[in-house]
Amino acid sequence: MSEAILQIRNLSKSYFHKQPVLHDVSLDVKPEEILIIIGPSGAGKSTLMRCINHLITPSSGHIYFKGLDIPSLHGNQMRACRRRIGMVFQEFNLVERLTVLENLLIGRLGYMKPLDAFLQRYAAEDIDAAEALLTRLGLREFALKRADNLSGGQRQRVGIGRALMQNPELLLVDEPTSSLDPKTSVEVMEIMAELARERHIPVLVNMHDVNLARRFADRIVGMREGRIVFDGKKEELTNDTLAKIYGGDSWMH
Amino acid sequence: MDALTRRVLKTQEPVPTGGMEKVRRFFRFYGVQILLFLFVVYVLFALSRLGISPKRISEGFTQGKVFLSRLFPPDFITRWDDIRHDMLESLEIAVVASIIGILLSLPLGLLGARNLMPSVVTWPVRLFISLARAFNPIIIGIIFVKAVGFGPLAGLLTLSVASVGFIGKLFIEAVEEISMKQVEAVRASGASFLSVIRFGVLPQVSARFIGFGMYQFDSNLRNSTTLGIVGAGGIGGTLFAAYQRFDYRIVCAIVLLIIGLIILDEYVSERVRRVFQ
Repeated sequence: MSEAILQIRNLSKSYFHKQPVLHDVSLDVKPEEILIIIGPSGAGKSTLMRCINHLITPSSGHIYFKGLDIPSLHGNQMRACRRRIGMVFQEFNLVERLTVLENLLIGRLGYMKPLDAFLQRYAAEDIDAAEALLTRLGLREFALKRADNLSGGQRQRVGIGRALMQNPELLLVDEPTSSLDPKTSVEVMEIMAELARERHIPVLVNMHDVNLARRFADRIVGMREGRIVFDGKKEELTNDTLAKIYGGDSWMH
Repeated sequence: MDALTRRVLKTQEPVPTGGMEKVRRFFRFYGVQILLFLFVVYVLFALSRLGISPKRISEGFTQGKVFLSRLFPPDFITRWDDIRHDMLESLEIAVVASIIGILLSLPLGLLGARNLMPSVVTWPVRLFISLARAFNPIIIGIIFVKAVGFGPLAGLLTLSVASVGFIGKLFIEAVEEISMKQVEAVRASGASFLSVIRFGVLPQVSARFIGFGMYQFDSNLRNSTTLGIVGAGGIGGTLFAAYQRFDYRIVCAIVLLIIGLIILDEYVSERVRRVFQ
């Protein structure tokens, strides 16, 4: 594999003095890989992800994304960087009262002039791209339905579509299946992995479902209490390592 | 304190020996009952001070019967031109003041929301809105009549201020109750601040804003019928003049027209709210 697309160096974040949520985390994301971070709740996975697109400002450390040091960016530079990074959320975070199509086009807002965005004057090719993507996601007939009419799996597919509309160079996926049933979880992960590989987008996923992570990851990172305690191929993830990540092994049997 | 809590605590706490301790325990156990007793005593005291007795009440009802008999039949004809002009003026004041109030409240509602703005911005905005709400419209009306002179302009300004005071506050509360998850998603797409407001915030609050706007219009319509009493335009002036001339049949006609207007407004605003659900 070539040069890393995202390099996280010595990243720390604490909300309260001397209670770090992230503790000196360093991690590389390589082109076109699906990297899945596993770990118990409160391990700092979501915080790490939100530092990457600067929804949260880290306390110290660097995040290099194609030559940019993300924590140091402000204003327009930060937003221009954010639009190159797509994000998928645990609870989908769709704008409930907008239609499915409008939700997808939110992915284009970062590229539009302020007035065009305000008046929803989307470019024709953006609308075409959104419709093509909806067809791929199996949501074509829902384009003009309001997002709050959809089921969980459908909503998460809209969430994936919205992130992909940004033409991202990196996809951040935060607990994508925690609000879904097991079958839907696999279906959602499958369509996401497929679309990402097709577009050669590296994907960084948080989840706590170990089996799902094994099934879809190229590489797995284990986090515990704000530190990385495992980083390797999925074959290297043994029960001993899992016990180290989650603490104890009684839950495995 | 209720009897159940008292009983449990009595078994758990040692009985105090000191004098002060005993007094404190008594107030802690029976504080609510004492307050309730004092409240009932105050209500009886207030009634007696106001001179309200069964005798006064029966005198009032006798007088009321005479008054009611002089109200009917209502007289729409004698002063019809004045009544028509002033009713329409009340309606116009209410409509325009509601629109001004809503237009001002939209930005203020966003600027005053603590989940979107830093406290240096929300604090002055909230203070301004509180001041606009501090006084009854009649009092603001008196001030504006002195400031800009008699007539509908004073009424318009009065109800605009009152509107900002109420819907500004309701808008702020609506914005503070939105789901920040949707806002986060729009921010994560790299959208500008204006787009975050437009796509992350407004869709979540627009239906409620329309409801509040209609509600304020209902309220403005009612208030615009009283503002004329202090000379700020609308039907209130004619109504008050008729009272003072003992033209009770004209009073009756105006009151019936106001009731009709309010019923019509209730019907229309109910329909509007349903459309925007």
